[in-house]
Amino acid sequence: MKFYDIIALSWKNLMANKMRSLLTITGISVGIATIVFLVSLGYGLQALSIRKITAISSLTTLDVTPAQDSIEITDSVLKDFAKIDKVEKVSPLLSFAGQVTDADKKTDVVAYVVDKDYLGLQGSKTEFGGLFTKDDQIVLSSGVAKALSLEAQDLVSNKITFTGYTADKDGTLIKNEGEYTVAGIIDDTSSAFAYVPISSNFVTASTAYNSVKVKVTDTNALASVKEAVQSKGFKASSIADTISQVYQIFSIIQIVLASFGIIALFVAAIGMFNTMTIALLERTRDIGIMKAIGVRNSTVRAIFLTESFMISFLGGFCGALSGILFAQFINWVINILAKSVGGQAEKLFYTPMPIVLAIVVFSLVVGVITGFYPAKRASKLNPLEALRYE
Amino acid sequence: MAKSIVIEAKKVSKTFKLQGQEIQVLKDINVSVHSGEYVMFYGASGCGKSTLLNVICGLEPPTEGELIVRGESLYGKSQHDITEYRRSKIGIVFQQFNLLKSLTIQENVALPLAAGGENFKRRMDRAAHLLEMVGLTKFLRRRPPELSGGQQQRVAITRALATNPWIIVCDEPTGNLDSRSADEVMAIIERLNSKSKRTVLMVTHNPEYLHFPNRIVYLKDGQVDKEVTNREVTAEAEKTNEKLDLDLRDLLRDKEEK
Ligand SMILES: Nc1ncnc2c1ncn2[C@@H]1O[C@H](COP(=O)(O)OP(=O)(O)OP(=O)(O)O)[C@@H](O)[C@H]1O
Ligand SMILES: [Mg+2]
Repeated sequence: MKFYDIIALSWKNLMANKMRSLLTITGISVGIATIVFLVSLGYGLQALSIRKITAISSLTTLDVTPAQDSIEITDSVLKDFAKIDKVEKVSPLLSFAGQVTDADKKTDVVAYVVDKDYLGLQGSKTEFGGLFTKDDQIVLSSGVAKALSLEAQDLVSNKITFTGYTADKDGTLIKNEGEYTVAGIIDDTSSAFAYVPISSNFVTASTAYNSVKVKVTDTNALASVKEAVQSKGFKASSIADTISQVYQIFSIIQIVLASFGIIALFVAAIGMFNTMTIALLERTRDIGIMKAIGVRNSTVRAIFLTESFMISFLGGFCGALSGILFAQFINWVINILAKSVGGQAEKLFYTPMPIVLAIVVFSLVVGVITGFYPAKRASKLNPLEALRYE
Repeated sequence: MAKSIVIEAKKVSKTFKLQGQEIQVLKDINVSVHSGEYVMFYGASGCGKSTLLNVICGLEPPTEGELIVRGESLYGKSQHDITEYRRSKIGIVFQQFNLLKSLTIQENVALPLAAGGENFKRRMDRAAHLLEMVGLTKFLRRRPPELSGGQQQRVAITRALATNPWIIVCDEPTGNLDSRSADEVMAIIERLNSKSKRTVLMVTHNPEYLHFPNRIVYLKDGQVDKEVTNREVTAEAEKTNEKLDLDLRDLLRDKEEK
């Protein structure tokens, strides 16, 4: 029998019991949709976390801190770092306690003294306004605005007073006060902090910085620079390290999510096996008739295999499609909810097409495997016994 | 003149094993069927008529003995060849019609041709043509359960003719029919033999039909009891049947004359 005729016959068999075929296809679809949905969620969350952690420039940045108390990051150390091969920029950070005063309101903040490059290297983004470009500008967190009972966007361009308390080499507290214009607000309502430009008299030649960001020319240089910094007695870590850890964590989450999906598909596969077996019993007589009038055993087997292939193909296709659509729908709903409570719209789901393809192929494999045994039995049936079957 | 034998059962015995017990259904059957002949098997229920037909159709290998088809032992061939023999060399008509309910009448008739790889248009045309001859043109697109028993049996006969086989084997084709439909079906088969020169093997219970065949083989307890020849096969019928690829124009003409 021609291949096309086998397909046509299988299709007619499927249509002969529409309800059952539909239910079986739905079963497979649900399994596949679950896998696609969960895997998309895993990938989406992974991509989201990485977006949150980093801006592209921060990928080539090392965070350097002293490895032990006896070592300090001073100006001479910074100059040393700058001389290392493939180092592009060196940008230190000094943190201390401070206060922000706006009109009559005052709040405590953690102050970070940094140069103009630092925030860019860190990959910081402002929610309102921008990063500072002049020495009399300051960047605050939205936590500061909250503490001052102001809307974050209202604070932008305001003139505020910043008071910093730095410690001298021998421990005496130095108070420093200045007028600043708020350049921008970083979205972080949970903590109050301020980024202050470095040339603001908070530092001297002997200041020991808390940490320093070392930007290298490209990611390939990370390892060698890291080694050079470490050999001088410092700890160095990069966001690239963090990201690879995030990938590791998410690959575990992926596996867990995919396992749930596979369980769903497994249940669907059992359902499909059941359907094919019942279809075999139901069609025992038909098989007998076909064989009696000269249809070959191999053709009978091909008809059954094609049928289960069709079921699993339709199930896989519809499942993948509805999994993607369902993910988009849930994302849409969550974003509407998020916006209604003042949150940000985020892309929570990401569906890589090669993965979808792999999942559909997987469903086909499952389909053919579950169809294999009933098909084999059908091809082995004795025509006379099959004809006697009621 | 020496008749040409198309099918010959040689010392055919069939034993079934049922729960450890052996039941001998056919004992030492020797029957030859001649080209163009109409042979009827007659006997009490359970005497082994269907079993013998199944052996002849390549559906049931005998326990002992041989079935010779045009000089070759059928069961010595491969499964593949036996299936092809069922598809193209003989047409089988069953008591229960045995049509596929998921296919239309036309598709049912075309199925043996589809199984042989015939292209869609050619086989559907032939099916339509054959169905026209038995007066079922109106029902081409219908499904078997929507037809009366007599109509279904006519479809089954048409399907048996689809591949233009030289032998038509009928196992109680009228068993499930009212007497009028039964007479119609028997008339069609009679014309298949007399006009279209097909070799016909028939099993029936009805003594009214005993005048149709050339020869009656009476079976009793799995053995040939006696053979009665009504009339010899005409030399013309024998000769025509030798040409395998007959068309069925004669059958059609007969229909038109009515
Ligand atoms: N597969 C089988 N297994 C066991 N016994 C069988 C089998 N097929 C047939 N028989 C037995 O063989 C005997 C002959 O059966 P068969 O069907 O050939 O009779 P029959 O002459 O066609 O009868 P009827 O006129 O009622 O159709 C019966 O006793 C039946 O029970
Ligand atoms: Mg019988």
